Amino acid sequence: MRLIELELTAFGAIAGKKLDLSQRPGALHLVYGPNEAGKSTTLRAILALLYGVDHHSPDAKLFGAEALKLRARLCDGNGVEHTVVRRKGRNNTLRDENNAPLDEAVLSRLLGGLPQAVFTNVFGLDHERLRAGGEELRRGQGNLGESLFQAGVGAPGIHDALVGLRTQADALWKPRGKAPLNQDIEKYKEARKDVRVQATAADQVRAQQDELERVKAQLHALQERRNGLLAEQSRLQRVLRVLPALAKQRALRDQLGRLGAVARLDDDAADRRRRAQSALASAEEQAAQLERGLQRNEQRRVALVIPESLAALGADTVRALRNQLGMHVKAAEDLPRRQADLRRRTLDAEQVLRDLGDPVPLAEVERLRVDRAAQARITKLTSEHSGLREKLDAAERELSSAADALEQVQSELRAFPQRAGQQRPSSSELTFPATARVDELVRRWSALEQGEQAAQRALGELDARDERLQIALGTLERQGAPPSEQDLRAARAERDGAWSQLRALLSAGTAVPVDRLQVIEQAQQRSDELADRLRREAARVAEHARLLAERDAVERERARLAEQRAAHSAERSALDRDWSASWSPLEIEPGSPAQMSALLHKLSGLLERGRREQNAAAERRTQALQALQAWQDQWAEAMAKLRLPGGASVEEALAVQDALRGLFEKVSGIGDLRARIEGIERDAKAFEARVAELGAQHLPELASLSLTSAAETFVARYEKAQSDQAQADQLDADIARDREALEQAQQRAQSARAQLAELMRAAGTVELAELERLERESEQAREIEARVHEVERELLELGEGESVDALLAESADATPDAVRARLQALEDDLAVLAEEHTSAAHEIGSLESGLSRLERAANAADAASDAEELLSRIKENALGYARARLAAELLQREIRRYRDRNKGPLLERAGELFARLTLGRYPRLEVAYEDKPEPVLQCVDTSGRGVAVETLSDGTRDQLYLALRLASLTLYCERNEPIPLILDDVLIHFDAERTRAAFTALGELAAVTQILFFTHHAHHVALAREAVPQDRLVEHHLLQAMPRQLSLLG
Amino acid sequence: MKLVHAADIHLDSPLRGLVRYEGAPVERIRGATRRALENLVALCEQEQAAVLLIAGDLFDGDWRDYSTGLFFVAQMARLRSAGTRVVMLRGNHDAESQIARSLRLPDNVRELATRKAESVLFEDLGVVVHGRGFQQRKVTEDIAEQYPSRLSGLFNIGLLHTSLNGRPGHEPYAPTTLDVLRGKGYDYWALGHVHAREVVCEDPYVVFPGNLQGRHARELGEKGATVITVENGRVRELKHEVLDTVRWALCEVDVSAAADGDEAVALAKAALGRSAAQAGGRLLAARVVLRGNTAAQRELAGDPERYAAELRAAALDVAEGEVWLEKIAFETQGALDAATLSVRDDAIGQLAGSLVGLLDDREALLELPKVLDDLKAKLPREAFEGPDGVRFDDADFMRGLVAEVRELLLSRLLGGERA
Repeated sequence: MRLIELELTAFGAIAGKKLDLSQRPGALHLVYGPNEAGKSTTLRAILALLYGVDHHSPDAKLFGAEALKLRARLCDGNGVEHTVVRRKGRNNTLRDENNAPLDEAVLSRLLGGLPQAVFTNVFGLDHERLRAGGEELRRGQGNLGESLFQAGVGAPGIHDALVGLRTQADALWKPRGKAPLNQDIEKYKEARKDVRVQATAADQVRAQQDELERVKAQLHALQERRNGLLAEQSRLQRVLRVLPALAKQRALRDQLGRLGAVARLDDDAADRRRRAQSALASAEEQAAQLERGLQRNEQRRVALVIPESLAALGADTVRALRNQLGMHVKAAEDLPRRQADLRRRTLDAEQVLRDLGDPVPLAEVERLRVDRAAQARITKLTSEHSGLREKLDAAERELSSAADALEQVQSELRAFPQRAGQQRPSSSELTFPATARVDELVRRWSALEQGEQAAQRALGELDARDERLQIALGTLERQGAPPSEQDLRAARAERDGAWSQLRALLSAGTAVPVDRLQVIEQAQQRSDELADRLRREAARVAEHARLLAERDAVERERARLAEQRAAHSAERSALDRDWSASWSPLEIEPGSPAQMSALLHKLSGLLERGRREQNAAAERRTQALQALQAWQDQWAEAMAKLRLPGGASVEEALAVQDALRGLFEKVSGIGDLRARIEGIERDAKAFEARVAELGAQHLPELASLSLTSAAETFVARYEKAQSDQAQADQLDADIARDREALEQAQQRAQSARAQLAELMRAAGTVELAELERLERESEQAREIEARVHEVERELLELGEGESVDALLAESADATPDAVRARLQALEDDLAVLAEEHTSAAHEIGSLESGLSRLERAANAADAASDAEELLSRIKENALGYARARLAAELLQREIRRYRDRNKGPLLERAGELFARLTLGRYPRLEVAYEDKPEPVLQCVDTSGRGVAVETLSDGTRDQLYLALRLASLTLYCERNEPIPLILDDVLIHFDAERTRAAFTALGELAAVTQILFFTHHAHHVALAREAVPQDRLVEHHLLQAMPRQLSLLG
Repeated sequence: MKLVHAADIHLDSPLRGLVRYEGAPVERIRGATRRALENLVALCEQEQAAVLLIAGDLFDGDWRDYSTGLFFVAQMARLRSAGTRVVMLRGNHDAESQIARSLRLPDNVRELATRKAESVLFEDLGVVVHGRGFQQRKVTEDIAEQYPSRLSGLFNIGLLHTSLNGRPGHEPYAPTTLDVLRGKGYDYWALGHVHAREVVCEDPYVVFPGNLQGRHARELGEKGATVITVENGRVRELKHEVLDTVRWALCEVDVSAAADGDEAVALAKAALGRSAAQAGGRLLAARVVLRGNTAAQRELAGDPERYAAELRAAALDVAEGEVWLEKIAFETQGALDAATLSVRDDAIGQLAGSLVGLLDDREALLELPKVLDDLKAKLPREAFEGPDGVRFDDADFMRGLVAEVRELLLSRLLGGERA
C-alpha cells in the first residue's frame, strides 16, 4: 500500500493543505518542516486517517469536531487507487469521496489487517524509540533471539516483558521459598488438620450422653429413698407433737363425766337476769327523785308576783327614754362653754370692721361682700399684668438690635471714599446695585483682561517671527537677489520687442543696422540667462517667494492685532463708566470688581434683614402699649368693687381681699353657735314632758323625784319586771317536763318485772335465788366442753390434717423417748443421702453443660471454612502463577523459534546495513555461543575481533538497532504487502557521515516500500540531497506557520 | 394447617470458593448454614407449623464433627416446645454420615426407615407421611415405586430424596418418574436432593424446595424452604420463604463502554452495588464476570491480578463491606485479534499464530504444563478437584488458560494501542 496524496482539509491548525506523494514512485519522501510548521500534526493526521481520530484528540479544537476532515488517496498492491475521507465521531467516520460511509474493512485490507499498535510499532520510528531499542539491546546483553524478535515486533520491551513475567511468577511461588503460595499451602495443611482435631467424635458424645442417663437414674433412686425416710420422720415428729394434747383431752372428758346431768340454760340467761334486776332498781329510784323535784318547783312558781302594765310596756319606748336621758345630761354640761365662745367671736368681727377703716355695724356687714365673679376678675387681671410688661420690654430690645445691624452696614460703607460733593445717604435711603448687574460687569472685566493678555502674547510672537523672517530675507538677498518670473517676463518682452522691430524692418525691406542686431542678441542673451538662472536657482527663487509671502502674512496679522487693541481700549472706558454709574446711589467711589462683588453679597443681605427686623419690632411695641392701656381700664373698674381708688396697686388689692375673706369666715361661725344653743334648750323641755307622762301612766309614785332620778328609777323598775316574767316562764316549762319523765320511769319498772318472771319460768323455778344456782351449773358444763373442743382443734393442727382417731391409733404405744431416738437415727440417714444427691446433681449439671457447649461449638466448621478460603486462594494464585509462567515460557519459545527461522537472512542484511551505517567500522555481525546459555549477537570490527553489544557506544548501538529494524522490514516487505514506513527525525543522534550513509540506505529501501522521512533539521535535507540521487528523492517543505494559518506546499 | 418442607441443609458444610483477602468479611460467612437452620426453626415457630418435612441431606457425608449433630438436636428440641413434629429421612449424604447414624433425636422427630418404605400417621392432624431413606450412598433403584398406596380420608405426603428423571449437576440417585409419583395418588410430594428450587408438578404438588443456604457460586439466588397451607385436606397455598444468610450472585458486567481499566472497575462496582441492594441486607458472595469488546482490554488482560485487586478494593466500598468477591473472570476482548494477527508473516504474526495454533493442539496443550510440575507436586489434592479446580492435566482447562496467556502477551507486547 502507498499513500498518493494526503489532504488536511481541516485538522489541527491546518486547513486545506495537501501533501502530494504521487511523484516518482519508489523515491524517498523527505518532509521538512521547521518547528511549528505542522510536522507533528501531519504525523498525527496519517495515524488518524488510517485508524480514526482519538476521542480526546487536540486536533478538533480549532475547527471543531464537526469540521474535522482528512482526505487521502491510497494505492493498493495491485495499483488500484482508493480515495477515503476521515471525519471525527463515534460511527461511520470513514467516508468515500461522496461522503457515503465506507466500511473500515476497506482500509484494514489495504493495511493487511495491521492493528494500530502493530502499525505504530513496526512502521513508525522516531529517535526516542530508536534510543530505547538500542538501550534494550544493551540490557539484553545482545541475546540474539530477543534482539531479533524485538526488532521484528518493533516495540522495545521484549526483554523487560520476559523479565517481568518471570518476576511475577516468582513473586507468587518458588519451588523452595516463602512466597505467598508456598505459605498458603502450609497454612492449608494446618487448617485441614485443625478440622480433624477440632471435630467432636460421636462416640465421645454418646459416652457422655450414656453417663448422663446413668447419673440421672441414680439421682432418681436417691430421691425415692429420701422420700421414704422423710415420710417416717414427718410421722414421728407428728406423734411427738400430739402426745401432750391427747393426754389433756382424756383428763377433760373425765371431768365432764363427773359433773353428771345438768340442764343447759341459754348462754345469755344470767346476763339477761342481771340486766332486768338492774333496770328495775334504776327505774324506781328515778321515779322517787322526780316526785321530789316537782314539789319544789310548784312552790317557787306560786311565790312570783309581777306588775302587769310595766311588763307589757314596749322595749322601744324604754330604750328611747334611756337615750334621751343620756343626751340631756351631756347637753346640760355643754351649754355654758358654747355661750362663752359666741361672745368671743362677736368681739373679733367687730375688730376687723374697724381695721377696714370704713365703720359699718356688724349687722350690716353683708354690704361689704364682693361677689365671686368680681373676685375672679381681680385675680385674672393681677396675673396678666406682668406678662404685658414683659412684651413691651422685648419689643424695645429688638428695636435696638435692628438699629445695630443697620449701623454695621453704614460703617462698612464708610470705608469707601465719599463721592465728591455728595452726602452719604441715611440707612433708609441706601440702595445697592442689582447683584446680577454687578456679576455681569465683573464677568466683562475678566473677559476684557483675558483678551488683552492674549493680544499682548500674539504681538510678542509676531515680533519674533518678523525678526526671523527679516534675517532670512537679508541672508538670501545678500547672496544676490534671485531672479524672478517678472524679471524673465520683462527680459522676454524686451527680446520680443526687439524681434518685432527687426521683423518690421525686414518686411519693410529696410536694412538692418548692426547695432540693432546686437541689441537683439543682448536681449536674447539676457532672457536666456534669466531663464537659465531661474532653472538653476529654482530652490532659492522658491525660498525667496515663500519668505516674501510670509512677510505679507506677518504684516496682515500685525494690522489685525492693532485693531483688536483699539477695541479693548474702548471696552475698558465703557466698563469704567458703567461700573462707576452702578454704584452712584450709594454715593461712594467703588473699589475693585472682586472686592465690590464680595461686599455687595454681604451688605445687601445685612441691610435687608436690619430693615425687616426694625419694622417688625416697632409693630410689636405698639401692640404691647395698647394692651397695657386696656388692662388699666379694667383694673380701675374692679377696684371700685373693693371700695379702692382706680390707681390702687395690685398689692393693695390683694391685702383688702384677704381681710374681707377673714371677716366673713368669722360672721358665719357666730350664726352657727347661736343656732346650737337654742336647740339644747328646746330638747330639755321635751324630755321633761316625756318623763312626766310615763310616770303618770305607770309609776305615779315617781312624781316626787327630780327629773333625772325619776327617769333613772323608771328604767330600773321596768328591767326588774322583765326579769321576773322570764323566771316564771322557765318554771312552768320544767314542771311539765318532769311530769312526763315520771310517767316513763314507772313504765320501765313494770317491764323489768315482767322479764324476771319469764326467766324464772324458763329455768323451771319461782325463786330468784334458785335461778342463780342453776345458771352457775350450766355455765360450768359448757366451759369443760369448750376446752375439750379446743384440745381437739389443736390436735387437728398438730396432726397435719389426720383425724383425732387416726392420731390416737398412730400414737397408741408411743413414748416420747422412743420416738426421739428414732428421729435422731433418721436425721443421720438423711444427711448421708443429701450428700449423695448433691454430688449426682452436680455431675448431671457438668455433663449437660459439656453437651450444651458441644452443641454450640463450631470450631471444626470454622476451621473447615478457613481451609476452604485458603484453598480458594491457593487455586487463584496457582492460576496467576501458571499464567505468568506459561506466558514467559511461550514467549521465550517463540523468540527462539523466530531466531532460528530468521537469523540467517536477518543477520546478513542487518550486517550489511550496519557496515554501511558505521562507514565500514564493523564489516559484519555474527553469533557467539561461548559461555552463554543463549546465543549472543556481536559485532565484528575490521580486525575481525568480536565486540559485545553492551560495549558499543550509544550512537553505534542506535545504528545497530536501526540496521536490525530495517533488515526486519525488508524481510517483512518481501513476505507481505508493503506498508509505508514513517520515520520521524530518526537520525538526529547520527553524525553527518553516518547520516549520509543512513539516507543512502533509506533511499534504496524506498524502492521496496514507501518511506516518509519527517525532519525539522535543514542540514538533514542537505545531507539527503548529497546521499540520494535526485531522481530518487522528493522534498516536501512545510512552511513556517503564519499565525492561525499554515501553508503546506508539496 | 401449615406444613414446612425443607431439604439439603448440609449443616456446617463450608462455603466454597471464597478467597480470603484483606478486608474480606470473614466472620460473616462463618456458620451460615447454622443461621439458615435457625431461620427455618423460627419460620416453623412463626407459622405454628404442624409438621416440618426434611427431605434428606441434613449433613455432609464426610463431616465428622458431632457438634453439628448436637446443634441440630437442640434446634429440633426448640420445635418440640413449639409443638411442631418433624419427619425426616436420610439422603445420599446422610447415608454416609457418621453423625446421622448415631444421633439421638427428641421424641417429636421421626426418622423414616431405610430398609423399606413406611408411613407415619398423625391422626390428630389427618396427615400421613410415606417415605424411605437411603441405606447407602448409591441408591439406583426407584424406591418411590415401593411406597404404599394412598390412605383415604387423610392428607397424604410422599417424602423422597431423588434426582427424579435426572437433574444436571446432581447424582442420578433414586431415579423415578412423575408418572410413578402421580400413580401413588398422594396430595404432596416433598422431594430433596436437587439444590435448585423447582415446582415439578402442581397436580399433585411435586416440589424440590432447594437447599437452605447456597454454598458456592453455582448455587445462586434466594434459598429457603416451602410453606404449605392445607385446608380441608387440600393444598390451598404454596409459599417459598427465603432463609439464607449469605447470598450468592453472578454479576455479569458488560464493560464495552469502558475506555480504560479504571472505567471498567467503576462499571463493575456499580453492578455490584445493584446486586448488593437485591441481597436484602445479607452478605453477598459474588462472582464477577467482565464481558464485551472493550478499549480497556489491553489494561485488563495485561494485568488481570491488579484489576482483580482493584475490584476487591472497590467491593469493600460497596454496601459497607457486605460484599465478598468470590472470583473475578475477565472474558473481555479487544481490538487485537490473534487470528487476524497470525495471518501476517512477521514476529507478531508468528507469535499470534503459535498461540492460536496451540489452542487446537491437544498434545501440545497437555505437554505445556510440564513447566508447572514443580508447583503441581506441592499443591494439595483438593486444589485439582471440583469445577473450579486447577486442572492442569485437562486439555480444556489448559485451552482456557492459554487463551488468557495469549491476551496477556499480546497486550503487553503491543502496548499503546487504542480501540
